[in-house]
Amino acid sequence: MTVALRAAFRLQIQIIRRIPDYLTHQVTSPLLAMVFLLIVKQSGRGELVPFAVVGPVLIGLWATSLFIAGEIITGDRGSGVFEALVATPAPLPVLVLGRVAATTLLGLVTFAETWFVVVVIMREPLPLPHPAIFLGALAATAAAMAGHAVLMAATFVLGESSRPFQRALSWPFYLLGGVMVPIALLPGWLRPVSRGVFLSWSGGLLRDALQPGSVANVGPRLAMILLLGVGALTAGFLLTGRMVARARAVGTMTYA
Amino acid sequence: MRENGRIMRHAALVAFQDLQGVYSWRSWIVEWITRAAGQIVFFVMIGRLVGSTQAVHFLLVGNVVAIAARSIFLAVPSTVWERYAGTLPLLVAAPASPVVVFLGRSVEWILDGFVSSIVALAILAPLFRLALPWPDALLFLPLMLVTCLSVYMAATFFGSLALRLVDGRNLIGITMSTSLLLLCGVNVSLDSLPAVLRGVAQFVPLTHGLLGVRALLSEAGAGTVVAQAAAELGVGLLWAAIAIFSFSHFAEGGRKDGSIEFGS
Repeated sequence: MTVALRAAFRLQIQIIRRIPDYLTHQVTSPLLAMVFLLIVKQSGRGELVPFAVVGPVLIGLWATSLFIAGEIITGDRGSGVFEALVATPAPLPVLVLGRVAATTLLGLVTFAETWFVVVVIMREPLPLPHPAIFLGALAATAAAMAGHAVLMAATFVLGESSRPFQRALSWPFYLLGGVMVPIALLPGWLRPVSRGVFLSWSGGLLRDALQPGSVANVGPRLAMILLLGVGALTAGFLLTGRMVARARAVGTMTYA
Repeated sequence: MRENGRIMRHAALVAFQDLQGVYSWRSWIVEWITRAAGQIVFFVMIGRLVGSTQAVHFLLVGNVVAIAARSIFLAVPSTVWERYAGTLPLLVAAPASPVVVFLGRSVEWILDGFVSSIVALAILAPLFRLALPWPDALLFLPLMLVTCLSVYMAATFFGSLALRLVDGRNLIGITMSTSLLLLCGVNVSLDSLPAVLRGVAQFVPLTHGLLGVRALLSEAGAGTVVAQAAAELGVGLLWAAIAIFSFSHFAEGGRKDGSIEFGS
């Protein structure tokens, strides 16, 4: 299983290196960081700088998974390698997970880019008062993102095209997930929905870790991010397994 | 001239057939307008976060206009679709200039962007209590049309670049439409930008169109609105000239080194 995981990881890295489109969000996230930072600075609310840092990182991480990882199975079906993959002894969910891990790693690059843009280009001091909490929250966010990316890959293949999913899960979802604006500013009826989105927990914890003062409930908040990630991963594994079993049973592997 | 008009009309027919393949009316409303409104509201809510009604309205107007550019820059990948369809060598071999075809080939995104901005303003202005000056607000339509045309010329130029980097078509299109959010006074006033970027912004489509819209909605006077519309049109013509040069260079270069079909 480890061999399959590593091979899938390496394959995805090679694919990413060859297709410039896959770097789209690594190029646009720093631009968004500049936009968010300029809005905050123009308004004279310097204390909101952590919001302008966390927003593009979460958008970059999510968008990279949405547009690359989400299309893994769909792409394999389109290029005609899906049957061969399913026929191999390696379990398909493990192969998807390996490729998703490579994509998540690419998504994390936006964190370094955003940091560079804010500190070096925009010359905005960015102290890190709670480094352990910040890194822990970032690691938990990446893990949860990988879980959700597996679920995306398994779900998108159910539709005729990935585009409707990708449109629905981009900007409206960033709003719902409180990646830039806390969910406390959303209408009351939306907040329970936002609570089910791991990004809202990640955004809150990452922002708190960038601000002075103590950070409350670190353990439960980290646990919530991981719990939502594990839930998505489990659902993704089950869905992928069922999809393969059904396609095998009815003989509609490629054009089901 | 008449022949070019005929070619562009046929290219536009292909464009609208493409649009029907991308969206049905239902999916346009449910998927695209929801996504577009989501993007605009995302930025408007940053105005709420910073706690200023002025910022809310500034961000609302800027992003309502900019959402048109997000649609129109889809002309970059749709230019490349011609390469996937295998028609590019035939277009280059034909007696007419390829730029005539490509200027008509993605016009569906002008309509998409134009209508998106109008629908977004109609829905979101009342939601965020942005007062529109009636009946002058109707001039938003011709101003947006000029802005959309200007953005389309730039998108056509970047489409010519994407023909040289087909696997980077979305990277180019999305990067350019995102750059406009930074450069054109969409989210922060041009005064907040460094002098170099402020200078660049004068030659970027959307900047003057948006200034015209802001002048219109703040009732700054017809002279300012007309001047900004004229400047936007001038910028559009500049980008049209750059696009024509780029397509000619692409066709001539491709003929010389045989890279039209397998250049990248």
